[in-house]
Amino acid sequence: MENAKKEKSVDTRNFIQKLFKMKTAQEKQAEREANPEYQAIDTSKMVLVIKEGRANAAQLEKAQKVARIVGTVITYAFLLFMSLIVLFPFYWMIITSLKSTTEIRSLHQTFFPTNVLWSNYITVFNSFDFLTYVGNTLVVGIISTIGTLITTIFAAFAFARLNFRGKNVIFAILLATMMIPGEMMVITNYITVARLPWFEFSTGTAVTGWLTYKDSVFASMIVPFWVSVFYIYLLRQNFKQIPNELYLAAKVDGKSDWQYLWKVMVPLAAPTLISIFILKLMGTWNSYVWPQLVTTNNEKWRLVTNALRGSFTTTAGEPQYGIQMAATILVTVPLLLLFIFFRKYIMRGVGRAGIKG
Amino acid sequence: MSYKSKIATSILALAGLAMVAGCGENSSSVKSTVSSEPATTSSTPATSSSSAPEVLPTKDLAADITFWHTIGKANLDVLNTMITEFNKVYPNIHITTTSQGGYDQLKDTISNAIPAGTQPTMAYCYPDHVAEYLAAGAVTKLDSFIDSPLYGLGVDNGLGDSAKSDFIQTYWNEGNQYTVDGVAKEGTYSLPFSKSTELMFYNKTAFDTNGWTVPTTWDEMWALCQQIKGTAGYENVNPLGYDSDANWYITLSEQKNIDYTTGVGKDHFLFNNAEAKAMVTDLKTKYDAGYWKSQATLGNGTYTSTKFTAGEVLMSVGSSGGTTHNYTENFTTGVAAIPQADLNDGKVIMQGPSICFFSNATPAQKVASWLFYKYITNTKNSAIWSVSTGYNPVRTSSFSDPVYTTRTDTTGAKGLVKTVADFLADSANHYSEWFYTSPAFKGSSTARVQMGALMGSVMLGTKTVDAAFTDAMANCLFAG
Amino acid sequence: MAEATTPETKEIDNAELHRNALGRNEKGGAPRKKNFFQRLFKGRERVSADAGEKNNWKAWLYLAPSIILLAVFTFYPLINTIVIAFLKDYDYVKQTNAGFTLDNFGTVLGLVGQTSSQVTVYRWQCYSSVVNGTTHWWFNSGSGAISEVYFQTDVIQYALPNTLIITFVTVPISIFISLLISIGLNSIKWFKKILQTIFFVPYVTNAIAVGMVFAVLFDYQGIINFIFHLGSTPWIDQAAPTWRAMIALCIYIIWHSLPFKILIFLSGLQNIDKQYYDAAKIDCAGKWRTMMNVTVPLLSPQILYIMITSFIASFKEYTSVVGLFGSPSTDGGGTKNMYTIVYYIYDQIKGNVGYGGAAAVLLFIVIMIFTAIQFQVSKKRVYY
Repeated sequence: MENAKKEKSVDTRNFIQKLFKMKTAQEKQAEREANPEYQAIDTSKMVLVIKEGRANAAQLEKAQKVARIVGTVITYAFLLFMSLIVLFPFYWMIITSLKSTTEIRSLHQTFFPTNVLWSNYITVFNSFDFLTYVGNTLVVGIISTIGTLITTIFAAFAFARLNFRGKNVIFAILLATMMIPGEMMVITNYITVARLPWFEFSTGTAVTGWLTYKDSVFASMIVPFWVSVFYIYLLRQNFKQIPNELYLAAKVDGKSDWQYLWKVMVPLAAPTLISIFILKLMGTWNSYVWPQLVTTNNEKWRLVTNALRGSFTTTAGEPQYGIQMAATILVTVPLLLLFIFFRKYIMRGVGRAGIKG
Repeated sequence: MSYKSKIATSILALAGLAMVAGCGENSSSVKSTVSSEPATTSSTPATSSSSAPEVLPTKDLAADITFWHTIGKANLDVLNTMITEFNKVYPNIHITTTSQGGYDQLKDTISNAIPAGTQPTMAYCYPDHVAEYLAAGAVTKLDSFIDSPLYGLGVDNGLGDSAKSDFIQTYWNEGNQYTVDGVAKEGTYSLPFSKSTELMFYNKTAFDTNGWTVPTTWDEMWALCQQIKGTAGYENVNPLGYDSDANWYITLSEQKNIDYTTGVGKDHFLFNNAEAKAMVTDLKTKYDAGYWKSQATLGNGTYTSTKFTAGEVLMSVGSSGGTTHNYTENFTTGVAAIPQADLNDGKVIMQGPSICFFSNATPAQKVASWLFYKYITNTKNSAIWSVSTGYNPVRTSSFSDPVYTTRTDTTGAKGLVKTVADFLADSANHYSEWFYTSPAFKGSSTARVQMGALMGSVMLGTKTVDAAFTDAMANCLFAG
Repeated sequence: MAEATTPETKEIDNAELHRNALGRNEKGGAPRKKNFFQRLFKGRERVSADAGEKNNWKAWLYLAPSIILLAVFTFYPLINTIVIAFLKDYDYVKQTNAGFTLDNFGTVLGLVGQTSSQVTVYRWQCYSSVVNGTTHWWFNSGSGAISEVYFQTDVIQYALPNTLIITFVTVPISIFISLLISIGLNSIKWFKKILQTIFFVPYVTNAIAVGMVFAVLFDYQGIINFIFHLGSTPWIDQAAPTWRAMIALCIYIIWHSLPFKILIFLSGLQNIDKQYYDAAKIDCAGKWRTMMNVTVPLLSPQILYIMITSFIASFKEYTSVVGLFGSPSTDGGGTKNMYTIVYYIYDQIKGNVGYGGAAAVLLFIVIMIFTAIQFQVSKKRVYY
């Protein structure tokens, strides 16, 4: 087959050359050989000359070192510049949260607040029950994330390593679900969730149905999002990078697919899994529309972002930027701490691919 | 299987799924909530029930009711106090209140809750919202409750009540002029609770210094603007600031009897006419002359009250709920009525949420929520609510209630609030007679938003008057 | 298909296995019919040792939890959306509709209009006239009554172009920048932790809160004008022309999308075996060559993933506009010049769900086309 292909491409090339009256390779070689100078070359007298680029090894090393330093400096400068750009709005958020409303709305913007006001933060703490909401969000977030990790690992394993009929079709369909905006699905899902027999939406405190009211509200915030095609796709890419030889080696050792998955693939994909963990947890932290809808009957079970939004407008509806920024920062800091803690696990990475030699 | 039959099978499967999903949508009745329900939320069919349930308002009436609102943290304590007092009279009625954020959010949440069957017992609502809930048959008709001999208005159930005639009648009208699909729906479906209106706050100090008189009609207003602009030291000032463009458009249409919208018939949106365009063109001339600014023309969601307190605007027309924002130590703020086109036929907008009751509640819940409503709108509570929140009372007798008339704190911004309260209580100002309502139907809120946008784009010059009206029509028609 | 003879008597080489799998005849010629669908359904996996029926039930077992949850919470609403797009006057509060129609698509594309008394008219039935500088459309309903017809042009005029611009401007730029940043981050020794954390900060902050900050920065009296000495140029205020507002929006979107990409690329870079770099060093490859010929190809699965998901995500861009502008227009609501398709959908959901559904279906088709193109283009360039 490959020969057939090669022939075909050669034919095409010849055709095009003939078309444009170009010379084929054979014709060019024939011309060269017809040249008397060419024939006069005496190959026995030819000497192979190796050109030396540098006078000695020391100069060569020095040039390399300079190049490395220049490269490092450029890299650092670039990173520094980008990090300034990245941080600047965040810096602005911090100083806005420390300003008074009049200063924020004044015509002349200042780089540093004239009076540093911590009162915005105090107002936020007094205004809503920060800890309850953080607790709710953590519970929902962690259960949601663990569930997502499990379903993602299974599904990505199936798509990356196992072979079955219709694999590509199913994967294409899954990708297709990413293409519909989530907002369209909210209403239908809400009606679905309200009709599921184990979800209980009354306001009573009695336990009827299978779950208590609080459990069912939390469950309805968790369960619909236990699968995320984004993360399945990501993990599949990662799993596919794990070399085939490892799988064959595991088979030779007599391990089953299940053991291979948990003992080899998951540890190798740890950085990606931890990334998924963080991203999913943050997704729960920042989620707004769905929890708002589902917790309509009890404010105490809302998540952090619900409590934030719209809490800090004046009675006439004018937003109080200083307090909103303070609240946003208070909500953001735990996420940042989370990332800092997990960062080293992501960046530790994999030392070797697992095969020696 | 060959690939052809595989494709065929999958297409059939998809089509089958589509039919199943489609079937679910074609049924026209609201589905009842799922089985194994406790006694609190059984659902009755969605038709608005008007038969009086046989529940007696005894002291041991037991029910769990939910109340969804948009009350901010600051005023929640007042509501909770009322609930505590209410529970002293009816200890077995358990009331759960939840704040749902802003009005749009509340409406979205309720709209989502109705097909799912999870709507509350009673909720804040705007007339246009109620029109939509009513079209779905989700709100209760309240006449039987109002006129009931057992617990109607005027019957004292231990809640310190007084008669239906004590309600400010113009507020009342808002609740019984709904139309569904172009046909008027007879009956009362919502009742007032937390009302506000528009007032003109003016820079009394500047007016007194320069000997200007407060305008009472639009002609006087424009003459005054011209005068102000000609006075030394005020050339760069915009004399008038009208906060809500939409309100201004609608109020002017109302005052000048220009067609705006109607709920009856197929043609709902009538504002695309020559008189309306002339009115807007006239306003544009005045805008270009620098006579006025509004929220849309200031941009960034800036309220005219901000400009007013900074001295860049001398008269600010804004909501009575935002009174405190018009207070400043730099000058005295005066309160006046908004200018009219015809002083004998005055029109002033009324805003603020009403309360509606949903029809899928049990009879016990309905009576319980009705009793609660009677309580929070009795004379004393209406006055208390008004004093705490800055909204208007819904009862005329509240104006003379000692809670309303004697305020303990009259310093600073609170002093301005008292001035406003006194102004509204004074029947010589005619405000209670001048309240009007716009027709409420499915899509009326879109019209109001479009009018604000129309004003903004015309004044800023991004569209001609003609194009702006055409686009506003298109947006109204296509928003359902 | 040629029958394979018994393995003991004849060596089957790879080429022949390939031929068998693809159904070619022995001369290596083309099989009867080879097209995309056939390849999709048949799959080429028969070559590998794990092919065949025995993996089917096991694979389905692994996929079961995902498929079930997706079926209930994603497929079902998806089908619902598609169905709603074809229904007339769908009211989700009442749960009624008025039957099958294609008018929703027509309305979204600006082909179907309405008179003020809600009569549906097609554009080719109308005639236009220019009055006072604006074009009006009129419909003669036959009995002498001429009524004006109104068309919905938001999608064609604003939403679709804006979305396309956002996608094709922000995605390449942000991928390029984040690739450079992550490769740079991976190669430095000092301050690694701090820089990594810094670059992750935008992802942690709430999109809408940060949008407000950007709105302040891009204010006509804001810092950006101050730093670059641009005077009082309006970027997002009322006097701002659409193109300048789009620039501000794109900058915001790029800023916000960098961290996710950097995170994915970094974790992908960690997976690249050091042996490849050592081999490149032995071959005296310079930094740039190492990057182009070792790092990027080995990172290609992640790059493909980011490309596909970024394209899809920026087609669905919505929260950025809300965060930065608050409303889909720069002039107080008159012209919706900052619409994106999903913003349009979101607005329509509250009013007429049918239009939202139709726009969602159109969006779905557009995204599918672009994703398919990307997959085809990337086939030869992704190395696993």
